[in-house]
Amino acid sequence: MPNRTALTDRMTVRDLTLEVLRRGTGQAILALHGLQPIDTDARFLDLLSRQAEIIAPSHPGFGDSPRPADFDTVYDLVHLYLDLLHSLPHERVTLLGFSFGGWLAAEMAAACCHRIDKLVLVDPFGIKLGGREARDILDVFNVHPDTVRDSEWHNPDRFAPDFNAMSDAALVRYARGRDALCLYGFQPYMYNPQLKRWLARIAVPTLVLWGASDGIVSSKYGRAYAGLIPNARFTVIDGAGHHPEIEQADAFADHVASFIG
Amino acid sequence: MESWWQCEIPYPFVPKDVLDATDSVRATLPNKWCDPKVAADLYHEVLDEFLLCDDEGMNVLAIEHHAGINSLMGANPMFVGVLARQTRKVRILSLGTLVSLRPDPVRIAEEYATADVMSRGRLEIGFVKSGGTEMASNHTNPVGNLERYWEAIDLIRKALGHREGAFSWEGKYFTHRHVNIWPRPWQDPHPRLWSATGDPYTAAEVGRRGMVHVLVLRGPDGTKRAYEAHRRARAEAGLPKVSTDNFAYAAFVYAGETEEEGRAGGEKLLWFLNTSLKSAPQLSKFLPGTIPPELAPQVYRSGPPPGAAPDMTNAEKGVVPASQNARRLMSLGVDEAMAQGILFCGTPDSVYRQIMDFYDKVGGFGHLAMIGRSGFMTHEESVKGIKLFSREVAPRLREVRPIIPA
Repeated sequence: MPNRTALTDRMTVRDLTLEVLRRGTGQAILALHGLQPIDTDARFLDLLSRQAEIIAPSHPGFGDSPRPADFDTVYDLVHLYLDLLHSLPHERVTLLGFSFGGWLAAEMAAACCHRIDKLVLVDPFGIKLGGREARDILDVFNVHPDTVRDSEWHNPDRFAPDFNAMSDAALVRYARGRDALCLYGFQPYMYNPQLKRWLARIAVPTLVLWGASDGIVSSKYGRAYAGLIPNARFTVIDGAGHHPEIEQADAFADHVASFIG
Repeated sequence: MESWWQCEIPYPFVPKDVLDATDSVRATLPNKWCDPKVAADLYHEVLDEFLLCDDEGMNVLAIEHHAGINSLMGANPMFVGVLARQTRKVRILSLGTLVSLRPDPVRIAEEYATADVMSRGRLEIGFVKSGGTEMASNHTNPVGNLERYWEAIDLIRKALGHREGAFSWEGKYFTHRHVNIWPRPWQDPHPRLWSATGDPYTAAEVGRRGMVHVLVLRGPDGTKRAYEAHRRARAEAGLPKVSTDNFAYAAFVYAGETEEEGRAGGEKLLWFLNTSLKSAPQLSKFLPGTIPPELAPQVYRSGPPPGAAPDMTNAEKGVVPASQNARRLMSLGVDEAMAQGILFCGTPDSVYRQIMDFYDKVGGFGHLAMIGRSGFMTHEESVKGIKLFSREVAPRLREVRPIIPA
């Protein structure tokens, strides 16, 4: 497990300064991370950056991005990234969202597609599909960490974070991310009750990728999610849990590369 | 010094193999293990003990914990209501309904005002920060808990003290556009307010607000540090010095006729630590918002990092995370618990000496919140302990008048 370290680049959107990971050249991809900021050592970054410029900010409260006291909702995040999108020099970018960041990307695309060329959602959260006593998304704050670990990864022994091996700085970063995720996503848990209705507004080519072994949120949910976005393509990646970009980096990068052309 | 008797009404009658197999005896243990007939007996026994305290002139204290074997007092205001009517003389401290877990503080103010009037002004109102298992039981975001706690207290205080018709509240966590509770409290503007906390930051805020500051099972060092943070914050804010009446300490206390009987009672009380603190990691050390992220290296690792032992106190912050405090407490025996100042037991003379020794170590306090019954202690043992303490120890403690330390 590589140690996540602070990113050196910064970008400013209005009064917010975000740490940002930038990699590669070519068409722009704005990547919104999920449960934790994207690891600088992630192999999929190297693969995708051969043909694209990846811009991956850490959400306020995650990593080394400060969070103002009154910035504490998904509403804030969506508006921040709509603003960021409009501030980029690129006319249009591909929006790529993972997990929690997939929820943000779906919200943004449902609100306004002008600057979005294509949309890629990877095991996204964001909507409620099951009945009132069915939980679509595993409560990562309320079940045993071993259960979360086994649900999150296809091959946890190889890929799950090992707290005993992580540096102090990496653990502080990790804990910061958990706090921020809980702040933003606690209630309702990881979804917006209104979003399902508005997914039909998404008017750009969309690819929904899903790890076949995802136990945080199942591929059945993913298929239904994709079905609510006009003409979205849904693809399952075998041998991967909630993070196909990490567990199957090559297959993941191939799917994204061929989709964005 | 005033004495306040309490029993958290634990439910210890779950088979040991069930307790051993579960990862948490709070929040997640199915309630099929709680027999309501047994629970009813416990409620009646302990309410009788509270009434005995009233007869003996010892104040009473009702806590609140949720959904576990450690306590059947999930609905504090209901107990306070019973005590308000059935006791006649003593003061009643609610410590307290868990305000940051409840969506409407105005309703809490209404409950407290009702109890204060019903008791003809014998209520004291305490506030307690919630623990991790209770965040789960009450479906509350653990991140932002402290901010929500203070806003709830602000709103309750205003609702209790406001006299001139409806006011509006549009805060960060609570909105209530029409606040005008009936009845108004008996005590004017409202009952005295207490707050339980061990961390120096909250202690400072408790000090600035002039609330009675309760330390629970923190031992002499942590208690002294918190009291000092309270006093220092007042001095820095230019507020007048407070007396020892502003400070309280909660510990296990049992007085017996002999040293052996007292120790045997004390040992039974430790069930609370040894058995009822067991809490799953996701509801304690991994729960977001419960520790500053800077402490994650100490808390997240299952073993020490190479070349270092985990610190029980963070030198820079002066904070022992509650989860670490709990782990430390779970393994204590009688002698250790006595040495750490969280258990006072023995003969009445010996108990008095232990309390005063602790008093001297922390710079004095005006209220002893005594956990007098826990675990498998019987009603008869509890009654005996209450009588001995209230007749042999409490009068001597009452002679310890509030002072303002130099």
